[in-house]
Amino acid sequence: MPLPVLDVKNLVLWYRTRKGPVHAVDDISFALEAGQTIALVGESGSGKTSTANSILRLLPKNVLRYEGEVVFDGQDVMEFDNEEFRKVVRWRGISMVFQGAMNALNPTTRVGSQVAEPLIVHYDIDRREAADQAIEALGKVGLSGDIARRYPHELSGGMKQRVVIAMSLILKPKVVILDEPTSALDVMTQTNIINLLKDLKNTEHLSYIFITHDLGLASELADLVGIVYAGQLVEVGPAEGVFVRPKHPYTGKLLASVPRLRSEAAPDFIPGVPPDLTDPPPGCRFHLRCPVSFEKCGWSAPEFIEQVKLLQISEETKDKVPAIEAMKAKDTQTLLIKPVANGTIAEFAQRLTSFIAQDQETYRFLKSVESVQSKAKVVEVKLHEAMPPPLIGADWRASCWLLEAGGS
Amino acid sequence: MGVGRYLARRALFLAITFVIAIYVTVVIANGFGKVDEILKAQIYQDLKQAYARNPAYNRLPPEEQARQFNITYNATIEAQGLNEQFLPKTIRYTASALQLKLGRATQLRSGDGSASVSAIIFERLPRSLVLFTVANVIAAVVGIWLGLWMARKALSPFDRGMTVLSVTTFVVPPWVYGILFILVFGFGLKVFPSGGLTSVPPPPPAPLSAAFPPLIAIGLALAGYLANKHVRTKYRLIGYGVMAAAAAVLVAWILAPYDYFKDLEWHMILPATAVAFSVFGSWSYTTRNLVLQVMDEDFVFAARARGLKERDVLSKYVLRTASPPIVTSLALTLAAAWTGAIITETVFNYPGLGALFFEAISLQDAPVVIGLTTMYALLLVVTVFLLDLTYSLLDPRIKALRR
Amino acid sequence: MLGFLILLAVFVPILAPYNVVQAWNDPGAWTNNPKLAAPEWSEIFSGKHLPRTILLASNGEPGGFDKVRISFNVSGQTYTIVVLRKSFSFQFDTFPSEIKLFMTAVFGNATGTQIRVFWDRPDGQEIHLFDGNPSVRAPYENTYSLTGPSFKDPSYAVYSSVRDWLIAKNVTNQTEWASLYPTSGGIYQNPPQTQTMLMGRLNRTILDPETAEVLKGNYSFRIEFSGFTPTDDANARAVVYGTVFGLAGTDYEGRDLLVALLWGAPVALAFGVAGALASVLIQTILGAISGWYGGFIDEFVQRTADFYLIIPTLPILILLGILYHLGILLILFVLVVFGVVGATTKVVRSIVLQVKEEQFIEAARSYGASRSRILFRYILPRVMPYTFALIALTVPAFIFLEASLSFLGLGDPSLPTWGHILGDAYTQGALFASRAYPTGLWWWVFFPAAGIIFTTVAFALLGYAFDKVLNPRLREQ
Repeated sequence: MPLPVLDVKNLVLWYRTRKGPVHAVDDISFALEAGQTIALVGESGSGKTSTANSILRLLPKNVLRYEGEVVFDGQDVMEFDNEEFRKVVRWRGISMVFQGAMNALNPTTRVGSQVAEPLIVHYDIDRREAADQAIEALGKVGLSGDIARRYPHELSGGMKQRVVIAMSLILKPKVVILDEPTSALDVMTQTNIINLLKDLKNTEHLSYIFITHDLGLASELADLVGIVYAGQLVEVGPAEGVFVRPKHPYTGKLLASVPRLRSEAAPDFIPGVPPDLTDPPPGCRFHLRCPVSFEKCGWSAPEFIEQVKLLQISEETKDKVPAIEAMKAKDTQTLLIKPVANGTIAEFAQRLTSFIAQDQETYRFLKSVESVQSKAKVVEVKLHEAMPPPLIGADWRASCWLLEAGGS
Repeated sequence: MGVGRYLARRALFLAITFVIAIYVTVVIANGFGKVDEILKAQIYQDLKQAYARNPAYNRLPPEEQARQFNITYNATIEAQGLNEQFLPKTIRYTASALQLKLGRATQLRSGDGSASVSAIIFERLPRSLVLFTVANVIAAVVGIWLGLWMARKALSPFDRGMTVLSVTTFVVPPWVYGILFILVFGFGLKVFPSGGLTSVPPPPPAPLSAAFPPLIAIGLALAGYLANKHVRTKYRLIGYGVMAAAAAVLVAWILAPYDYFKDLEWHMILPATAVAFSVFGSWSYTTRNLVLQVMDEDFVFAARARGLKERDVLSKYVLRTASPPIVTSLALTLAAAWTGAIITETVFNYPGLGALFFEAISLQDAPVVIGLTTMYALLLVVTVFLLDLTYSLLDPRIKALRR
Repeated sequence: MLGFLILLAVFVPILAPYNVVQAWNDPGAWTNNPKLAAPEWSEIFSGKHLPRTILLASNGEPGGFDKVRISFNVSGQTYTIVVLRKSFSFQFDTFPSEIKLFMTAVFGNATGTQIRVFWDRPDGQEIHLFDGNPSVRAPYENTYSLTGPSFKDPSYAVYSSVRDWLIAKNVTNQTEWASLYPTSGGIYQNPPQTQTMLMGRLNRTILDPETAEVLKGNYSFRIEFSGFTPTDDANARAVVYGTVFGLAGTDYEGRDLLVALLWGAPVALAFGVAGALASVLIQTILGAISGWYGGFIDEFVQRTADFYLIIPTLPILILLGILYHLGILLILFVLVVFGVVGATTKVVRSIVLQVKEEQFIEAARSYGASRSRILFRYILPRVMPYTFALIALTVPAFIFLEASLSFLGLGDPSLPTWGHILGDAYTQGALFASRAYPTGLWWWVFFPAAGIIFTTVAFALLGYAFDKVLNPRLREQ
């Protein structure tokens, strides 16, 4: 097995906000071999771009935690000081194509000198020579040399994107991070750019980290796919496998939500909203929205109370729920329920237990109940322990308790 | 060319505005005709008294007295141009002011006794020009540098502290600092002279070349610094050499005997510091805010990813993009500082244009007031025009917009 | 800071009623205060106990002069003798700045009506200060300045008496005296300080004001009045002026600067806030209209703004001030007129141009809201936070404009504003060091300047609190 060109291990990036620490990147690991492309796919705000930025050490001012290992070309570049990192890694080793090319170009400088700039910065090359190389690089991305003398606002969106790609290649890096390189372009231009990237990958022997929320584009370009959810990789594996037989329920839902031409089935959707990264849910971070969650997935008492309240509000379900006067979380996994004064506590516990048994396939949070005990005035409900699921598997890993159980 | 036409239009507009501004000044300086009435009454009184003391006149019969008096009175009025209608007169005044024929002062005289308003103004102009240019250049350099630094450390205690300092210093005008500086450095610590252009009596004169060492030192230091930023690493030594030379020149100047120019410059330190102190905050605060805006732009982020040094990111990307708005908001402050000089110079007893304005006002010397206001308006117009010019050169996007 | 200012602005009119301000311009109201006195607490710098002002009230008032009046008849001629006496204790380390005696007298026949004034020292010496004839009748006061360089009677007479007394005591002699205080054409070149000789220890040092030592203890005035009608009467009061006064010192008229300092706060506050509010709001509305309606209106507002930019505002204001002696409300009005368009108009216009393109405006238009409704209900609220920040930052500008005009003597002449005091101080030479005041009249300048800075800084900080409004990008972090 060849040595990976980039090996990211347990990368963590938290930053501080007024609401609390944001777990933007929370223990992400993946490896990329030379010439391979990994697609990092996820919803907006899931931490894809933060992952890319933290590989290049482009950090916000309010960093709280930044740790892990980034082994590039056999060296752990996290050990480098800022100056060394700037000289060795940035652009020479790993370059980047930014989201929204139009904004990534300096509006007050000519395009040619912007493309040439990394040469001057890193190799102290003569300006004239750098300009020639820049024209050559522009040629590689299919732009004529006279573009070099124009200002960014004089170019179309597709041309700007090509300029940005040319700029990312100018130092012949081993890895190029593509951060949603086509998201602001129309479909035709998008296809052109993707084809260009494919060609360049073969001619220039590049490895890509391709960040996108578009599963279609990811399948075009990727050898490996990493699915990012709430700052974590929930599934990572070969593209053909992940796209055909996803292991993680989230990947499944994601694939099902892609609309298809000539298909009768309406696209599926994922209920709920992505979790708040300042306070990620315990256990598996997807359990709140997961269609197949069960005992071990990590429901907590406050979440449980929230779900019961939702049932109480809804017209359809409010009759099913036993009459409750108040609920209180005792600790993270225990809650106390006070019934409406109507019969004994034992009777209420009975009703509650039967409700749980009856409806737990429909309302999966009920599965997390470990025991129901009658106390003097209240019923104490104990929930199963919350544990984050480990990544299971070798070349194709996914983090879901179901996999441990052997099912899928 | 779009830019040429744009500038031509601006120039035309500014010229028209300038004419109107001068006319308004002329009208106000003549007190909407009030000044003429005052002058006429004064002439009437003076003549009455002169005749009352004349025994030959007193012996004449009353009708003859009145006739003689009226002839002299009307002749005097005519000679002084007071019989003219107010409107044509103000137009005439405006026309001559526009040709910079500023007339003769009624009370004030220049150092060599000339009553010509231009002579009086041009005697004072260089003093103000030197003082305010030096002060503002220092403030600008310090302010921009500080602003960049603050933006770089945004929200840190340093940034917060300096922001508060900037905001609180630039709302206070220079003359208030002037008063405090005089109290503290002039009287309390007795380090600097508390006012005046030179000591009384002035120290022995020196050749004009003696005025330049501090300027040369500053120029060399800046040149060396800037050169080093744009030159490749192996040539850096030249820049350091130039900076060392600057230091040497400065030391030599400080050790040199106390001559006329050193005395001048010594007297300029307090007023210049007061002006710089009240201006730098506006530079640093504006720079910080604009730089903060640009700093989060994607292309700056991209530049950082390309492995540029933080310093180069700031100077090449951030500052260059932020400079047009910085230049605008600050050129206007500079223009306003001109008129603010009136009190500052008065407080420091510094005989420049501002102090002249104060004297002219106190003596109600209308020609000087009009002449000075014309100068101020001219300075403002030129500033605004230069601003338009630099703006269209600095930002290529302007050209695109005009097209 | 702002809270303190507002409290001050509310309480000052209650604590020091407006008639104090009216009295400000009445020189007669301040005769009991020393002139150009530093604040009392400034004595900690010198380490000496500096003299406060001692008021010796007239007879009939508590602690006033003691009075004995006898009227008698000798061979058809009525004689009236009044003796007034008052002693006071002087325990300070330096000499007073001035001593003045004020006398009221009732007399029938002027010729021969006489007062004789004696000065008793703690060392038992008595000096016959002067003899005089009262010139005005009660209720008007005859003012006798006993000290100072004035050669008008009686200070010259007092000075001669002191000289004669010193020569009699063999402290000095005629020739030495003449060399110490040479005259030229009847004018002393180096005026002697009478108070140092009246109150100094009787030895050689008394001749030089720099070395003279204060003789502490009880001094007393004795005044003998003699008149020739049965109704004749006299009364006296005296002031031994100190060199320090109150918390903030006094100016050249002896006015208590604390009054002006306190009154400066509400005036500055009201002026600054009213001016800033008016001009920023007008500018905002004009800017919004200009950006929202566009076309001809926009062109007109923009060109007016450029025009205002070029007009040299301060010189024109100064001219207006000279010619028309404006009251404070008129000054405010003129300042607002000169600020109806300006930087705020331009900034607000650019914000409106951005907001104009947003979707919710389009939505409002599509359901048929009128243009002016959209302007006032949708666009202005978006601009407002910015406007508030600008108001806070504009208040100092107005405070300083008023101060600048007042400094030049062109402000409201009836109000003791901070700028007004600074202007007075400047024209009276407070910024020049003299022999008597080697550090200038610092208190006269320092406190009003500090007051202005304090107020403006308070508003600047309030504006700074809006930092995140002005810099939306800071909000995300």
